[in-house]
Amino acid sequence: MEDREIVDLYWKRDEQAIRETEQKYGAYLFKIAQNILNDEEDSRECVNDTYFKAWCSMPDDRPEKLASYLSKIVREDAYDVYRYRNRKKRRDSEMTLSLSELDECISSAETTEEAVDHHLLSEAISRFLHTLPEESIAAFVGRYYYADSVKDIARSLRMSEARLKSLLFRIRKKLKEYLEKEGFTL
Amino acid sequence: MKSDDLIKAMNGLDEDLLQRADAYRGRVYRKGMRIPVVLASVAAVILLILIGARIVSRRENKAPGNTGEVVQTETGNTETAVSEASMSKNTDDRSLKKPDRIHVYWQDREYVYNKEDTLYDLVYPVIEKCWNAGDTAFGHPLVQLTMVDEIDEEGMKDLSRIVFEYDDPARWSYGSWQNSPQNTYVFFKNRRGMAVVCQDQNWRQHAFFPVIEEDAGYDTLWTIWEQMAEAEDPEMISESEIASGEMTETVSEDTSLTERTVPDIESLTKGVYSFAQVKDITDKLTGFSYEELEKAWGVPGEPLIVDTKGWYLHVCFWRSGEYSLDVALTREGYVEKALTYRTEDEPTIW
Repeated sequence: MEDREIVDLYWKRDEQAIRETEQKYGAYLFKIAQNILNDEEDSRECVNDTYFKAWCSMPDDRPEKLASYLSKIVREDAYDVYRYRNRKKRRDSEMTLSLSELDECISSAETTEEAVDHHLLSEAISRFLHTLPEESIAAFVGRYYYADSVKDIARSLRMSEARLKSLLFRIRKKLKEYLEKEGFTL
Repeated sequence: MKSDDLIKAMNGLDEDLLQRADAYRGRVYRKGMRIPVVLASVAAVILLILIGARIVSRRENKAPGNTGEVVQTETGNTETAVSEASMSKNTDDRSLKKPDRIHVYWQDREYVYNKEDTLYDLVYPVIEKCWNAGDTAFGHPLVQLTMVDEIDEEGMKDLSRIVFEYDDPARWSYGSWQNSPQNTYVFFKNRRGMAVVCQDQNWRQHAFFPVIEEDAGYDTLWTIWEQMAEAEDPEMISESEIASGEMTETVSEDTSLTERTVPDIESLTKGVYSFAQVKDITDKLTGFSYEELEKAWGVPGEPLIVDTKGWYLHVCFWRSGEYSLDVALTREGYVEKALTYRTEDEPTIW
């Protein structure tokens, strides 16, 4: 079923919308949550929450690209669970690894944390990514948005893991320079 | 700012970026998936040839004296390679009679290898190898071909050449690396993998190693490749610099191709080239006709190397898709500058 038709179902308050969403994007959403949480049960819960949130936000929202729309919900949800859980204990997940890699871009100065406007930062990162070639965008988004493993990304981009790591390293370095130039305090 | 601020901010990324990333990964992955399809297609050719030959063999056995019968097989699936099984088996031994020509139908195109063609000699050994391997079971050659690791170096070489040569839009880019004064390794790279040609100090090619991602050493080669690419000076060397050298052709095992001075280097300009023009430029650059070079060097696409006062000019011409002329200037085995002339792209430097 086309995204547009699924969204129509949401707008008609037809519960078939959830079933269609699950059929089309269930595995995709579960993968995102699982990459972040590394826990099947929590991931399933996040996916179910995503369906519920989508149900609540439509109507009102009429997303053109359902995949991106849903991925943001599940990612945010999974990330909240991750942070909550991580306060107690850090677990070995792809998110942990990707976070530690991103630490290179920034300092640990907590005094600037409150000043960060996430919206502006998002825009800056988007602007930066728009300057990169497709391959780099795919690598960066795969790693830091979807929290996919290096192995999975390398396989899907048909490159060696060593090359991917080197590519990500260069992008992070450029991002750091870009953010500094944009006035973000790192 | 903490890393989780960045992670959180990533949630606000442009949807367009997410879609582009997804689309790119999907596209690359699907392209990559074509490799096993290609291998399977080549395997299918071999299998059908063998089946065809077996049919011929059975008919021969039923009707003694009836030799040389040609069995033609076809399928409607254009993605599947089919061969005209013009081979027959001698009933007394397992020797394979070489067909006059081999037809391969692959991706809506037909490739005909006549006995006198250079490529025939590349295709045939693969067929023969599988024929010999299939002594006990028809399934065996298929396994041999699809499991690349089980093919020996020679088989791998032949198979890779077929696969690489006929990946229609693929073109090689290349660089070189010298590990000793005696040997220079020239890398050819396309999106499927790399190949390494080992050349001696006289620039005589004496080995060809295809390297694909699964191979040991691929990562090392990639690293070398990237270092070479990053070390490149983005400035293009001027044509007058090229022209200042007296260019002489140095490599040939064919005694008819002795040293000659290149008559007109000025003809090397950026642009779009037809096959006829490539032939013309090749002739002007080297003093030899395309046909002479093809005869001397075999498959087009391999580099022609011309010495010019310590510089080496590599000229590659391709016949898959449209024709193009690639030129790289190297000195002492290292790629210093490279100009790429393509038929549909602007000239690029890497």
